[in-house]
Amino acid sequence: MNEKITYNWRYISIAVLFSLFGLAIIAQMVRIQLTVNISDLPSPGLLGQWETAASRRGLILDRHGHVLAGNQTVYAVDVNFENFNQPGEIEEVKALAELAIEVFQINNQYLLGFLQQEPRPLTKNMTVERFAAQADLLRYLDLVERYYAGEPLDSLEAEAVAPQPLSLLDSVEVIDCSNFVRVNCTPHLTRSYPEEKLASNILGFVMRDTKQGQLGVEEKFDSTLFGNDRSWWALWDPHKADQAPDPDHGANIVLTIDAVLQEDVEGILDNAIKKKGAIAGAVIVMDPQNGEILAMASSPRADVSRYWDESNSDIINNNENVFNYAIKSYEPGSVVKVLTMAAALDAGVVEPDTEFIDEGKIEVGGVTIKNWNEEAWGPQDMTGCLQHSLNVCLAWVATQLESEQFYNYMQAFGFGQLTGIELAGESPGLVKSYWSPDYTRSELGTNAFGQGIEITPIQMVKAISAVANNGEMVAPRIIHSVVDDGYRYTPPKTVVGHPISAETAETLTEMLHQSLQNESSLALVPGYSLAGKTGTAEIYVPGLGYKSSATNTSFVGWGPIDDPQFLVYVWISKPSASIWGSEIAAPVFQKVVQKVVIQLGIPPDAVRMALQD
Amino acid sequence: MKESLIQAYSNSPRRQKLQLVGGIFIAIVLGATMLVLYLVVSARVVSMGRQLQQAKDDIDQLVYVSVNYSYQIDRLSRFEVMETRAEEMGFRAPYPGEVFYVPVAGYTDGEGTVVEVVDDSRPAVINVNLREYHQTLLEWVGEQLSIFLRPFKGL
Repeated sequence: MNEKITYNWRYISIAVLFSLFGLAIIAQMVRIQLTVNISDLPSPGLLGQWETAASRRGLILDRHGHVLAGNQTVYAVDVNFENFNQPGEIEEVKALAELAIEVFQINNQYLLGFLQQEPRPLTKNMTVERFAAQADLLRYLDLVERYYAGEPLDSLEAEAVAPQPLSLLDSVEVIDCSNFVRVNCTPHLTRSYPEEKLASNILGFVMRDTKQGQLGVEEKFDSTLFGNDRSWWALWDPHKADQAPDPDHGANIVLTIDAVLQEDVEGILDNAIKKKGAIAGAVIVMDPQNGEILAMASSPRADVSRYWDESNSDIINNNENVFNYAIKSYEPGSVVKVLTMAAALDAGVVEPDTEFIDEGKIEVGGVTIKNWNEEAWGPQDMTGCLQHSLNVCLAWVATQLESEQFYNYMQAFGFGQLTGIELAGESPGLVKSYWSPDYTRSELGTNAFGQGIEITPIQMVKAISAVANNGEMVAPRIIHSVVDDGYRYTPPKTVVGHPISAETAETLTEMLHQSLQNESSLALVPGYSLAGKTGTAEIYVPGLGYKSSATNTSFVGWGPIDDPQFLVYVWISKPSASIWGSEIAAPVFQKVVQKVVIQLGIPPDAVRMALQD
Repeated sequence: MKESLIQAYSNSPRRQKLQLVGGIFIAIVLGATMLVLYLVVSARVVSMGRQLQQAKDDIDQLVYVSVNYSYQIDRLSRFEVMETRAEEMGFRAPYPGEVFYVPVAGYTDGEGTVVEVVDDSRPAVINVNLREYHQTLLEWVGEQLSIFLRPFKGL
């Protein structure tokens, strides 16, 4: 009996021992699997953190791949104000904030006010700079390190204030601020414009806070360029790792612009505006055969890489709200005579040798129209009318067309309509309809020589392309291609109409070539056959009417006339050195063409003909 | 006689205790095996999840570094910088009349070859959203069980 009890006791002991051991193992496994100790997490009470995908905005490049708009890594810099009210730490945190203010050139009133408050509010972290450049952050961290090493704050502040030369990055690696107890830095991407003012009127800019494109290509193609750098609540749970989005980069856009030519043209325009005492201007260079804009200069231009600076924001937010003068409407003056003559020749109401006796004035719709010099020019053929830019003659030509036909042609040339150029803020211009209630017949006479209507330079370029390009009018375009995810989309050349016949275009081109040669224009470029026309328009001043002392001067021309490869439009507004397009805009055209032929590799006619033979 | 001996032997108190202990051991071993399997699978899932998180962090870092390199190149190739360097080397832009055109037989000025853009094939799509990454062992067992039991439904 005793032996049996001993056996029972042994069996029960072994069973209990192994059961306890086994249950302990199971309990431990269950504990590991199912329980989470919140206090072990990096931030107790939270199961994740906000993170931002490193998605870059698409690049904007010129036609040769030169970067006009890129990206830059910047940092949000936080200073940790925890235990700010503790003795000793107050001075420490103030020193960090003051160094940040000097290095990052912060004008953060909230931060400055915060430092003045007594007692300090309980704030844990404060962002002192949201867009710290990598070089500035490295400099700041160096100063902070030296402050902790015991260097006096005064000397560090003096060093921080000293202007820094624009240098290359010392390191391309992402800066890690985790070694600094009170300084946190988080990288993110922002837009950069390495060429600063170059083509800024085309590019537009991106708001740093909202990351929204404003004006130009940046606004027009905001959704295409946008890199989806959204923030999301990233869980630390590795089971949810796949939920973190991959970087979603924006598509790259290749412009038709030739950046070298653009820079040359901008230089010519800026010099002309400065020397001639003008206030603004624009120059467009287009390939009339396919509508590609090779250069589009506008002045004044803002440095969009620092759009928030006062000098730049003044240009962007000017009175007339004009960012790009190439797509702003204005009264162009006599350059419209090219299209009036084109319409008349095409309609058959005049021939190149049709004679007109210029008596110095003509009455249309009860309004007397005079020539620019208020003189009579006697018998003139149509080439002479264009050569001497006779308002009276062209008003007469318009009356031969009559209102319906004249305005139908103007509509066919695209006036009063958007050209569809891929830029935000394009103006449609203003051309009255002959059936509108406030239309008077006198407007037929004034519109014929470009007064009383508003047209943008880009509209003029589009319309004139029909004359330069054998009657085929092409849509101007500034997007060469869009490259996304390894694919390239190239919008095709778009022919938007044939407002005039090829014969009319050829005849008119020859007339404009002759008139340019005959007047020994300042627009002529030796060795190249060009066709073109000047324009001078008085500017309407509300309450005072048209003032001949303030004019818009223009020039439109193209060449070589047998195989047109460039079409150039020049507009200089309110020059003080002269009021005439022939003296202000024509020389600009000449200088631009001299650059164009070199940059595009267009040999002089004689060489070209010899090569063709 | 033989059967009664076997019955007596198997029903002996010692044998009954051994069966009880053996049953407990088997239950513990089975339970532990299940948990070990669960732990191994979970650990692998966690490990892969961590690798995925690390890979995503690395991608972000590489994007920043790549952007920094591009930014360096952009700054180095600015027109202002290039023109200054060209001037220092004695170059300048040509004036009209200084350009000589030399015919080269057979040469035609083309657009060049675009090498960085693929036009005719789609890039491979790698699906990293694997179900295994966020499926527990219990869910997997339940799924397998339902697959196993499917033919028996409706019987």
